Amino acid sequence: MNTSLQQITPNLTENKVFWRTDTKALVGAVILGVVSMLLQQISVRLDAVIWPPLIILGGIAWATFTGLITLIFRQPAGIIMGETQAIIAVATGLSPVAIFFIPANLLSSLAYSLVAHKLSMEKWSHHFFAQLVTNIVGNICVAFGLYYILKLPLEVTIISSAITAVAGIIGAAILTKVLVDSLRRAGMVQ
Amino acid sequence: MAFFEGYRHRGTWVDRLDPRTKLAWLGFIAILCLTGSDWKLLSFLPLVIIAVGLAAGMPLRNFCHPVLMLVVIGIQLLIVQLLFSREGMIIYELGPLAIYSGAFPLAAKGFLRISSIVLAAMQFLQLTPPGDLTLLLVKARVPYRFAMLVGLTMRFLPLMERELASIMESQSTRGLPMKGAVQKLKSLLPVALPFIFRSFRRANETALAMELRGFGRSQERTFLYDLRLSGVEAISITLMIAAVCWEVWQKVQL
Repeated sequence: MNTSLQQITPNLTENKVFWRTDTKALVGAVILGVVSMLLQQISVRLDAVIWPPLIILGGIAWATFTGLITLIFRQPAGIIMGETQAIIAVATGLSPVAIFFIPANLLSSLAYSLVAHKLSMEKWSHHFFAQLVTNIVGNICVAFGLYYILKLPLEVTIISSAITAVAGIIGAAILTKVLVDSLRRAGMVQ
Repeated sequence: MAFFEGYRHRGTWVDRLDPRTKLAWLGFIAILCLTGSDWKLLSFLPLVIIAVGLAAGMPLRNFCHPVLMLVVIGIQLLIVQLLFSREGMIIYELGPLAIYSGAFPLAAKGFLRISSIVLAAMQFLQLTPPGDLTLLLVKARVPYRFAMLVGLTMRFLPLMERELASIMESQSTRGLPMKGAVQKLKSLLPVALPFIFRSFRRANETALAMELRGFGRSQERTFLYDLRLSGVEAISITLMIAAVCWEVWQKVQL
């Protein structure tokens, strides 16, 4: 890869910093936030058709993007992506609990960042662990929404959140690793 | 049909309003919805929002897509409440499934609350220019590098939506079936992957183009115009804050 291309592509392994405010990271966060929102529009609607109380596909899509953007563009890109997605979700009526995506996306992105900062993120186990933390934090916030807005019984809230979290951990860990590897191969990240 | 309509200059009174007034209106509606439980108030709020939108020059068709989405959410809420609500008395029983009378008012109240929040948020984004949102954040002492991201989001939203539609069309032309829910589920990955890759490429290109134009070179940034809050707007914001405080106080007293 030539020098100019190396300069415009984000580096995952070297310069493992927590905070990046360069133009690439900020613009990437915004564009991928919009992309994540659009793909969630499809996946959450499919979830509603399959089984309304669960957000399996939407949960996987959300966790995958949270992991992918935080891993590639670091912070505050992860937070920007999450909040972009959450605010558009509220304005477009994506989900009854969309307003709870605002704290969920903020906290889960920070949680993923902390894990990704400590681990090399080269192994499958690192991705699973990072997604475990992300999904637990995010689904706790959404569980508050299920309990307070949908007025679901506590046991239903816990079971629904647990199923969404398990699907998110497995699906998103696999997808994040596969996507990062393919982006590396395509030369879009190093 | 686009799922999200961006800002368009309409030349009405609302274009002259300060974004802080519009933000206060959004906050006012959201807090009233979340704290209020009176049927009359909850039913009245969505109608007020639609009336304000029409008075501000928004065409009625702008509400069609959100209303359609809200109907889907309403059905979702009703199913969830019918399955899980245990309030009131049993009105129907079939094996392990029991439907309680409390499910309907719970679903209806949830639907009205969500409708008001969604319509007010949609109205705010449709009636506020992206440039004003950036100025609003700059006024709140957010660094320009971050403040400009709001405007960028609003500009990229329709663009990326068109890109997604073009990828779906391309995959469909290549023979990928996308008719029912199962086919759409199967086509999710073949559509999502090229979309993500294209977006990464676009992000790299946009960032490079911005840097070549000198973005972020100077710490200080000048603007063509400044935000000004008129006396009437200041009074309106004060009244909205007072009403919200009164509502919260009433709630705390109970």
